[in-house]
Amino acid sequence: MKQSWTEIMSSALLGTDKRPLDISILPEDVKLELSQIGPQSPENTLLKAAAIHHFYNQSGTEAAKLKSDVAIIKIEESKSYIKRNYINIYHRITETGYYEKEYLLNLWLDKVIGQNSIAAPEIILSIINLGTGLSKSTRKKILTILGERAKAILPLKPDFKTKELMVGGIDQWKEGSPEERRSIITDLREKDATKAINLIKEDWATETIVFKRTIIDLLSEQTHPIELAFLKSLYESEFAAKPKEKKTEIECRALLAKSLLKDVNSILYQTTLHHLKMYAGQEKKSGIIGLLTGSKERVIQVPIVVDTFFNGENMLYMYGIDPKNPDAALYKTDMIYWFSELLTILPLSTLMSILSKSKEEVLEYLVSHDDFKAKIEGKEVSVLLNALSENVKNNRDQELLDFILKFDTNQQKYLLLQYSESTFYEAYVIKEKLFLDAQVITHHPATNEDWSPYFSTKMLEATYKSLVVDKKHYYDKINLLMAKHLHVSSLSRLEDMYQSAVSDHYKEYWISHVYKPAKTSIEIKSSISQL
Amino acid sequence: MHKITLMLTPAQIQSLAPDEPSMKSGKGLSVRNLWLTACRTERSLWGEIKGSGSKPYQTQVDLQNLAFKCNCPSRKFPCKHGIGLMLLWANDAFAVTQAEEPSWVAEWMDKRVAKAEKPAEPKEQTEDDLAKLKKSKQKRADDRMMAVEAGVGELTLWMSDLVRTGLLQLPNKDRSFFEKTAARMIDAKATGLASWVKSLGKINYYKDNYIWQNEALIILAKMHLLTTAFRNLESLPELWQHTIKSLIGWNQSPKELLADESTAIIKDIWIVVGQETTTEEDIIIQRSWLIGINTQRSALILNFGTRFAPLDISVINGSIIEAGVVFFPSVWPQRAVIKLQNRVLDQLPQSTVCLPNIDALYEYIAKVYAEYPFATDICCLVSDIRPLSNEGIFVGVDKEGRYVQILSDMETDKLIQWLAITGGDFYDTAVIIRNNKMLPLGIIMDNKYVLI
Repeated sequence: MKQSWTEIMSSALLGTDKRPLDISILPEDVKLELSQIGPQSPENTLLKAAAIHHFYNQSGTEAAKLKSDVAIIKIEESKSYIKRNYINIYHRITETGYYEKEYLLNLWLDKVIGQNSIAAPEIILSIINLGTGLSKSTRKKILTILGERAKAILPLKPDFKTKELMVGGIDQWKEGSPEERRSIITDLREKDATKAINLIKEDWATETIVFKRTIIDLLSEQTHPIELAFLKSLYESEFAAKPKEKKTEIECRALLAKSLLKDVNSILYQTTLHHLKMYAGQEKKSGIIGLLTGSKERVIQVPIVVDTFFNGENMLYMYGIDPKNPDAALYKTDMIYWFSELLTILPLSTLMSILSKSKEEVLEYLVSHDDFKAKIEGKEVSVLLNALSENVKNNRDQELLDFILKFDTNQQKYLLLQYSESTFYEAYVIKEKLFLDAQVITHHPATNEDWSPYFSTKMLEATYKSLVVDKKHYYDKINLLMAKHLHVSSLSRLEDMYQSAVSDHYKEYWISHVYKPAKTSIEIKSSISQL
Repeated sequence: MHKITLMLTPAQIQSLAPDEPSMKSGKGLSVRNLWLTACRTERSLWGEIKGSGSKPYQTQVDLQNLAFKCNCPSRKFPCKHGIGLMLLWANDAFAVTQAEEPSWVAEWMDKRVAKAEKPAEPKEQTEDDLAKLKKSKQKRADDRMMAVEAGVGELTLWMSDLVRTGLLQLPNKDRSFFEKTAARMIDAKATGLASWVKSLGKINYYKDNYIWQNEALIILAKMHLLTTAFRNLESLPELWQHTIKSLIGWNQSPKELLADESTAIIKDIWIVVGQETTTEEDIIIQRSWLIGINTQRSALILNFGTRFAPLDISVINGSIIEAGVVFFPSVWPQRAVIKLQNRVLDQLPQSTVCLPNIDALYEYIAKVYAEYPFATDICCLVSDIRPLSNEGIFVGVDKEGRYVQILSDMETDKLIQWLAITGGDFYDTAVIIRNNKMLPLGIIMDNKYVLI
């Protein structure tokens, strides 16, 4: 049949003018049919032959059989499927907005994982699709609740990036991409820091410098005590200063110094303390009190010329600090610049001990002493303020943050709020009435938690007043964040506001942008907590 | 006749939604306290919801002969309020209270009931009127026949020219080559033939040579067979005449079919096994396939809509209905209309009879082609089928290892859904065989029909 169809096709493609169909090669049955129709034009003969041939072929085709006997594998699940109430809540989560969806999904996933259940078949596709594009940690949780049948279909969903989530395999550590390997270490550190550091050490000699920096960065962010010895050895040997260093090697040393300075027992900390003590001196207190009383205060006398500690080479060798002063107008001398750089990584307790001052006194001194001031565009600025802000990020020092927030007039200071603790942050926002400042609200440190009941209510009241009472719009992202973070206890306040008599365009806007999403989210949170 | 209240599942409601955003908005509105009222009787469901206007929107649903009405400004049908109200009830039956219909609901419902029970009476006509009507009808029929004959003649010549000069030239033809001929067929009132010509123009000539060459030759061969049959129309049996004329483009009127008392009503429990909606030149075409569990017959219900005239939504995908169906006359009757619907069942009352395996499916296909070579979508239930990836190609396989390849244009997500719900196990499966490939539609699981 195949050969005769090829013959028909050849005639059709070339045209009957060039190649009329030779009916003698057709199967007997087709020939018989054609002969019964009688003489035809070559075109009609060809089309008729094609039609009969096609229908014969179509009708006579037999079902194909698998080459080998495929084992009848029914996928058995070892865990039970989630119950209907879980499925209903899941469907509600899928309908929520982008901002709150992943958060709510995580709350739900935690419950399912806690129940040791797996996703029911009817939501498998939906949850895989929903997870695609969400964070790795969420996808990991999704993977945990996928049973055997779901796992069997994951290869058909490459966008879910399952491979990235299969953590811990030694093969993946050996052969994975840098991102996968970083992820393996991150996860392993949480579970077993000793195993993680041993794995790092095992292959350290063959790692690229870029990957080494990635790992040092990871370890220096929050160093586990067990990792200190390794970091110390790197600082002292591999990344000790040497001629013709690569930029990345210097960056590695800076990260190592940052980490070691947090440990008061490290040689680097002790050496730094020892050197800085040598600059401690006394001078008359400034201002009228100093003049009247003649009392003196302890100060750091940063040298005005290079010496054995404050010199470019030493700064580079010990701390990985770039010796070049980037802003001569701000930092009057290179030494002030280096001191400022040191201040970004040095715990403030060091200066408290050297100066015998409280933290507040140290800070007051650092931002107000004439040695650390400069005039920029006619305005007097504190040159160490940026370094202190950096110190907040590196050491999460709440008192320092509090001080900067009071002292600094720059709006950028609010960005530091993300490094504060939730209670500190909320108290600050309430005190300063910053509810409608999107830059502040978007930096709430509780990125994956509910806001406190009091703060939630305050936020609700402030936004309602602005939108419905004062008829003033604010940045819409605040509404999105409220839908995500409002505490469940704020529902009654939300309902009170909804019931209030006002009814206009602004109230409608509030209903659609605040009330509905927040209410849905709170209802879902409540349902999840009751599971 | 006792009417039954429709109780739809969320999945069925989803199939009624005009688009994804409407469904999403509807879900958002399926929360009880957004509704000022949400009530129902046996025949109706209604609610009031606050909208952007000063007065709340009034939304109502006819639960016995599914229809929606809402006074919101949306042009979508059903609107998000209708979907939301139905979902509210489907998700939580207690969220909607039993109450007496308010006047605005009762008025609408009474009108609908009256219209359904008493169709408009035709105007009384005299014998003279009837004779005139008959004469003009005959003239129209004669005129049409002449126009189609002329069109068929023209198309025969066009096909002969193509075959004489060779199909290799087809990839070089621009769209107008096909569109012009299709337009001529429409002028000749042969819309069926116009569709064949258009399908020839829609072939992807940049695909594998083997594929387009086969597709083109098969379409031409079928067109040839059809035009030849038309030329021999008078010598064919009456049923074949009907069939050929309908393939050529003679309209089939559901209204006339429903009015014809002589047409046999096939009463059965019908599963709406699948639905497919396509848009062709601004006309929305919805195909719903039904399988009768006692008669084992398959039926195709066609619904047409436009942007301004929404589709009839009474056939709900995945539902099981006890109904009487009438078929248009054909050699292989498939296209049908639901004449009466008694009730909606939430599960199958008995086990279904399926083709036992894929060998039997092939025998059935061969039988259909032998009776009616123009068959396109063959819909049936096959026992114990499961999805399988065979050398990277998805197939539906039976217990003996016989398989049919899955249609390549089946959505991957549907394929995954099939794998997810079956877990690799064998289930009785509703399928469509199209171009010798399989399109799975749903499975029978625990006496329920589950859509893929």
